[in-house]
Amino acid sequence: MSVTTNDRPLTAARSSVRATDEPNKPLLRLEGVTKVFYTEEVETHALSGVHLDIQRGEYVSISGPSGCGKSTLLSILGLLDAPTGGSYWLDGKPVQTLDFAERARIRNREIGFIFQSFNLIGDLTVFENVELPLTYRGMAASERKRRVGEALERVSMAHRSKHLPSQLSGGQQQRVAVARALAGEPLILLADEPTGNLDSTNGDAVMELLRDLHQQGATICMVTHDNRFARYADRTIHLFDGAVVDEKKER
Amino acid sequence: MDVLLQDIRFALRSLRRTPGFAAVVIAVMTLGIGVNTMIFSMVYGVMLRPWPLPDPERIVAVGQMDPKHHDEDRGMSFQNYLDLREQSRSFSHFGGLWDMNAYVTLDRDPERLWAANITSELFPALGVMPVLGRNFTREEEVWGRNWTQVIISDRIWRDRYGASPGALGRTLKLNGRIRTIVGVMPPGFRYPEIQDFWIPAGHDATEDKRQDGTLVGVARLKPGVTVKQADAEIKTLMAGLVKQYPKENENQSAHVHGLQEWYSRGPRPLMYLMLAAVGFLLLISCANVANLMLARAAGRRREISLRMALGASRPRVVRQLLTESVLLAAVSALLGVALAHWANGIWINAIPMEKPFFMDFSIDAPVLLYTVVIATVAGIMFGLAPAMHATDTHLSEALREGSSQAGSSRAGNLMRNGLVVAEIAFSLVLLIGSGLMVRSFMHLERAGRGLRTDHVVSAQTLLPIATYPDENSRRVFMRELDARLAALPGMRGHAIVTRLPLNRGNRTNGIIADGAKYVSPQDAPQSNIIRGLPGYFELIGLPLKRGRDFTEADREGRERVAIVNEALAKKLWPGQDPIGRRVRLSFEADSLATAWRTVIGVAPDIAQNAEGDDVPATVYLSQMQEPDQTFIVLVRSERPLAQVTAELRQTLRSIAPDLALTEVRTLEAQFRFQMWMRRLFASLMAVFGVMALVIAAVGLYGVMAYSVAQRTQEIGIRMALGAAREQVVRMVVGQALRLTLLGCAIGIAAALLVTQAMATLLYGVKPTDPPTYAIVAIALVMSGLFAAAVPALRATRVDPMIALRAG
Repeated sequence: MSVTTNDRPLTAARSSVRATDEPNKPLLRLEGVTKVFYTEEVETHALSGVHLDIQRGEYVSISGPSGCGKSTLLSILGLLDAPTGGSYWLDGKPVQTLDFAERARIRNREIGFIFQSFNLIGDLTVFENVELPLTYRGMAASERKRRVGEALERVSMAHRSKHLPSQLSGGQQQRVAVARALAGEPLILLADEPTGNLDSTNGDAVMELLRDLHQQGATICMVTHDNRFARYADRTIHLFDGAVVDEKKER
Repeated sequence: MDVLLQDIRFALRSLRRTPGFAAVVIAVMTLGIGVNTMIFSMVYGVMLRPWPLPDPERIVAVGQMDPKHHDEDRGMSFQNYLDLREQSRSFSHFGGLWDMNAYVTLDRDPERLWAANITSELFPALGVMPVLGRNFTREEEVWGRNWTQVIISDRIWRDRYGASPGALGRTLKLNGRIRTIVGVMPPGFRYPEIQDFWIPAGHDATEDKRQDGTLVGVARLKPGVTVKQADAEIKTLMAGLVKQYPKENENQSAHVHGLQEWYSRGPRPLMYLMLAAVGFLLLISCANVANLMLARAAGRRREISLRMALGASRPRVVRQLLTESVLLAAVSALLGVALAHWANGIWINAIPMEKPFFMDFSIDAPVLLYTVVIATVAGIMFGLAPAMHATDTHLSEALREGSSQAGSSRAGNLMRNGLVVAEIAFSLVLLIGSGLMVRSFMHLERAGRGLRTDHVVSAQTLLPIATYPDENSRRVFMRELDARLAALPGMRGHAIVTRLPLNRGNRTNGIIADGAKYVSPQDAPQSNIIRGLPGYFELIGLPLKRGRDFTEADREGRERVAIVNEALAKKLWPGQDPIGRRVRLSFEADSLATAWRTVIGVAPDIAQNAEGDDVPATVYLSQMQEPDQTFIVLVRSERPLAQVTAELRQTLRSIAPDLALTEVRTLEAQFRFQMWMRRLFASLMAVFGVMALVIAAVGLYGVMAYSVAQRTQEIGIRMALGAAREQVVRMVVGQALRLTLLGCAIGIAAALLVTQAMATLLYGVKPTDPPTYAIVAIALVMSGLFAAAVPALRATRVDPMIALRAG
């Protein structure tokens, strides 16, 4: 199945998510991607030949019922998992056969993650949590400090930089997680049910934040089962039994 | 550096949030590293610390050996030494010595100190010369010309002569001879061990037959000459002497070894045993902590996965985790050094005698370096496997909401179980080693307890050659002493003997039975040789098995007699009656009229050497017929020790005012003193064994507790389906039992191999001693069951409803 692309141009005045130099090439392309999980006796087909293009500056939401393969797809997009079959190009480069170290490098530099459960490290302060991916990049301390400061400013959490995650509300934690994803200036933000652990007020706030980022030029791919939030995206892809069964432009 | 500091900061913060975990790890590793530091400071002090002599690596020991009879430790005869000194070109200086008791009269009362007979080149060979006065000369190495000089230690010079230069030229009485002080050695110098006096070794050309010698050669290699080259040269020269004097030097060769290496050969097996024991303890500690780290890492799987999702490479995360484990090891090392320092104070104080001048058990730079190395290695050992396992994660699964954070993977469980099995196996090996040492000690103690030590006081003295030059003069003294002891008030018995049972080391000689044919005298079986007066066996409660004790009639001029013990009788005349048969010492000529002694009795076997490989064969000779210089007086008296001591001193002084009475103790205390080393090392091994048992039990408890926590839902389901509490207990305990039994099986197999190396250190037990193995295995299984009991009971308290809802 081929998914048509949205060629809306990036018009952001300022973005922490980088745009590339080749506006016509999809930022991300999956061709016939499959994923099979093997247990001792059972073979589970989580994805069955998924084709997907995501353009630079696009905001795509992936929805579908529980167990349809949304999270598996996002894991493959985020190089947290490798496909069983098919091809995956990120920024024009094939990435499905990269080794562990190279995948870690790409995750660090090209991809920003936002998780449902925030996944902040409890031992680290807000500042250190946001700094963490930059540390792994070997960036100089002064540059890290600048970037973290900017990222926290953008999510309005700079005043809480010395707090521990346990001292923040769920919504605040998710904003910190967004800042962490932004700080590395990745090519794409991958959000896995970013509002799943938030009440509606905080959920709305996070969605507004993502929309703002997108309007500033960020490329976002979000998994959600909440149709209300799916509408924030430019395009919604519907998965069922590991296959894309529908896709539509929201706006 | 920035990243390293950040790692350390994160590690500290992470550990601060789990203080209980950090405390347990630090406690276990402090024990592991602490005992290793302690034992290494002992091993380093005994064997490895360079001696406080100039260029100690250039100093060598030279000695004779008898390769045919695997005797690599023979003293040199003086004549052979003189020839080798003359001919050798490998050494800049070639000295020699033998040590001796020194009964010295410095002030009023004689006292027993230590001296050495030395040749003129000993001090140059050691690179240490008198700081005051002079060294001995070659001219003074002649018997008769060596009777008047003495060099004293700095200690004696300061304590007894007020560090006055006027000490030179003053006289003292040493072993009956008046000697003039001609030199003072520098501070700290007590070579070979704790000597305070050095006198010239005198060669008596008329007496020296080359056949036997007690001289230890000490030489300094010339620049550029290696030990190997010197060894080759000395062997060649010795072969020439064998050719020149074939009868006297039969089967003889010579050897050159590094001096320090040569001295350390005695304690080496014991030191290796200690190192192995604490090595096992460290392995057990590491396995234990690795298991804790594994459980902790499983709990942090999401955090670790997140770090990797954010781009940390696996080595980067492993490094972060290793920073934590090395940090824990570093804190443990600091505390371990403090523990070792404290423990050193205890065991060093347990040594009831002065330690040799070269032994220094300080925890200084080399020991600390060792501690740093083992702490780092331990930190990596207990941290690496859990770190590798924790980072071998399925990222998307671990990060998913609601996924199991504990990460109780099959591989993780296998690793946990494997570690606890290894822990039990290591513990079993260590416990068996400890058990064998303790049982050896108990055997010896039992041997001592079997003797009649009640109200017996023992004291030692020596009859100097200067004043008691021949057998007759000693005999006169013995007779006089015997009579005066019998007349002491309150006396219920007395005896004189040259050596007590359960002593230190073996003093043996070859014994030849009449009619036995040996190719050479060295083929004769080795036996302890002890001389005594009548009444010794009865006094210490060692009744003869056959025949009779010595009597007054066994005196000079009569037929020489001997009493053999059962072991020697069995060796010389298996299955035959030894009474009436004849024996002689291997170095005595067959033709010598006085050589043959007739066996008049058979004594029971008793351990002679409490410290190592015991030679059970023993022959007792009559002190009246062939009196020795050194002997022990035993008296049984109802009077208090102080009174008996005073009476003994008075008695001795009334016969010979210059004689000193030393080591005056109750016989029981004397046995305790003699067995100090065995007791010390058995105690250390016992402590290590108990530590291993406790750590292994705690480790097993940890694994079982973790397993029960992981299986809470499963247990809930089982109980919901009708499992009885006993069935749940059986399930948990069964798992623990399986691990324990597997560990025991592996441990027993390993112990059967490892403990073979202990054979020479054991007395009365074999390395394969079945009771030791059985007791240790049962103790481990019981502690395993005990460790599993609490988690098992906890499992029975699982509420099925809560457990199922939590899942």
